[in-house]
Amino acid sequence: MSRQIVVPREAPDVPFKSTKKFEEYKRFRDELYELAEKGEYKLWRVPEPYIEFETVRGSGLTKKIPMDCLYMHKSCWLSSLFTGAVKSIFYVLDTFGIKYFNDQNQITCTGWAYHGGTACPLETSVTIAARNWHQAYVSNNYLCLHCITSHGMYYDEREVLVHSKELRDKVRRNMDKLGRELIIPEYIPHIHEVIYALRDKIAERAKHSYKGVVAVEHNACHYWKLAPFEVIGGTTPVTLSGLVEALGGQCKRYKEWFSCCGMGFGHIGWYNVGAVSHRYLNRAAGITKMISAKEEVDPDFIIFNDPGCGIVIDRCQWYSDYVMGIKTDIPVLWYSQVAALALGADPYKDVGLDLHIISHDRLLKKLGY
Amino acid sequence: MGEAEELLEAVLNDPRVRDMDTVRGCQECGSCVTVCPGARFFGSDKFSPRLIIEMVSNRDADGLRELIDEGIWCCAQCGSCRVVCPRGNDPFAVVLAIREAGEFKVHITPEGAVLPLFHLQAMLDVGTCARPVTPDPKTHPDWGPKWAEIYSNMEKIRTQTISCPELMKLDRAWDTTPEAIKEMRKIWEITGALDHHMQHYPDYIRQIKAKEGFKE
Repeated sequence: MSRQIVVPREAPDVPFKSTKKFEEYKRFRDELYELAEKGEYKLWRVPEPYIEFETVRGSGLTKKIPMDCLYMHKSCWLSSLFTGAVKSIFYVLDTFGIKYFNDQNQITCTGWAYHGGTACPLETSVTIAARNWHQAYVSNNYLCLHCITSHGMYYDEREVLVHSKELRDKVRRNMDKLGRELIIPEYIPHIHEVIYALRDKIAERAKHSYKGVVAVEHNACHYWKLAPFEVIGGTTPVTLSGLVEALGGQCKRYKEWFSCCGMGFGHIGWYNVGAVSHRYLNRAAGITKMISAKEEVDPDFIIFNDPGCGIVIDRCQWYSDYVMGIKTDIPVLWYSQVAALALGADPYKDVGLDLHIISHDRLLKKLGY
Repeated sequence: MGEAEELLEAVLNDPRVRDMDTVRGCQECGSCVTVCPGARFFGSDKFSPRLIIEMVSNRDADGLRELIDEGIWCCAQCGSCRVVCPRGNDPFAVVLAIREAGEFKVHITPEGAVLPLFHLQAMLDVGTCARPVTPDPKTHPDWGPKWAEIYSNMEKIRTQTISCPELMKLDRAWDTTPEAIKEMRKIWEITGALDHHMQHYPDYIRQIKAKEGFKE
């Protein structure tokens, strides 16, 4: 496949910029290639076929997204609670004949434990990341993540591996003990970027149009806030809105679009220190976002790219109705479910909508199901 | 050296702080506080990313030590502070370094922030961070009656409706191999994380060590 630069749609700029971070990122990329040349590690380049997208508009930075032979780096929460969203990924890839590999030897990136900061130290997490990268590398498929926390975490860990010689040496020794090699991926693609890259092809083959459907988006913090220089659209990510618009729908902005959903790694009730409870944070932040979306847009659904955020938003809405009498009832869909529904997948057997709390009946009717 | 000074030293030596230059002169604009869900929902008197950067750059050991008791756990680890800072500061990474130093170097993590056993077991027994059965409606009544209904039919929905062979077990997110789990445990052993958790869950860690043949 020939290289092509795809410039994202026009979107309003966010009112902030850190030029220091931008310069730092450019230096990091230079170092990433230089250290590989010196033999510090093997750099794992994205193989053809790939599509090269511009990231921060006007910066000249790009990200390569592999378009075949994908290593399905699964997500703990998406695979646990929203099996249909994972099956939808396979459904879309199968529709376009894109080869992928489901490896039972993949282990968790430990993102949940790492961001808690009390489970495993940096060295353990980075060694696990390097182990998963090598596992994917030897399978001859390029890394493609289902989880956004893995995306943010791998991005950070790759940066600290390049910056810190001490940590790099430790991880290399650990990899030797495992009988593995230190491999660092050139880019860390997420599966929703692959589906975004397929959006026009999906629209061509769509059996159900999103015409007349209004959506709002929630771009996960660990996608665009942690790694803006490797995000399609940079600080105004276009992957979710771009998919909805390509399928004929409208994706509208709401005041709280920037805000974190409050996930904070607390779905499971971790962190009860003094007055700090993350279950409270889940509900407070999630409900605040949904009230803003309901009042300003009243959308047919909200589209996500992260498992954790979708869980918070799907689960918190019952509580706001029960406790405050505020009914938002905005159904949750992941990018893969949006694409699979357009392609005519079964809403329950393939897309797994019966694992969601908020009903999709109104949306399915609009889609002609 | 007191525990506060030990904590400060460990934070300053963390590669995420030391090698990545995540603390620079703060211009006190407060952009990070305006976007922080921790400050918004728990109150900026309890947690403020601006104050964290200030404490680290001023070498305020006592301030950091006090944070561990409550404030630092307000952080949702979203990274909103990282993307808005005009100086390129990174309170997100500094919070990670403070939490890790508190747990692994100075051993002052409050009880309510210690990793729960079921979570450790998910990682070390099945190789995933979560399991389909983790959020039991008894512990998650705020997810409502529909969740309780889905939970009681989870096996049927997953196996009969969404038949996806890789994702069929209820005790794990996906079907991991025994070799992968063995390797996960080995990484925790060689990096010292397994020994560290002996203080929290001695019986469980001993059981793993005996099974894998790791020396105590």
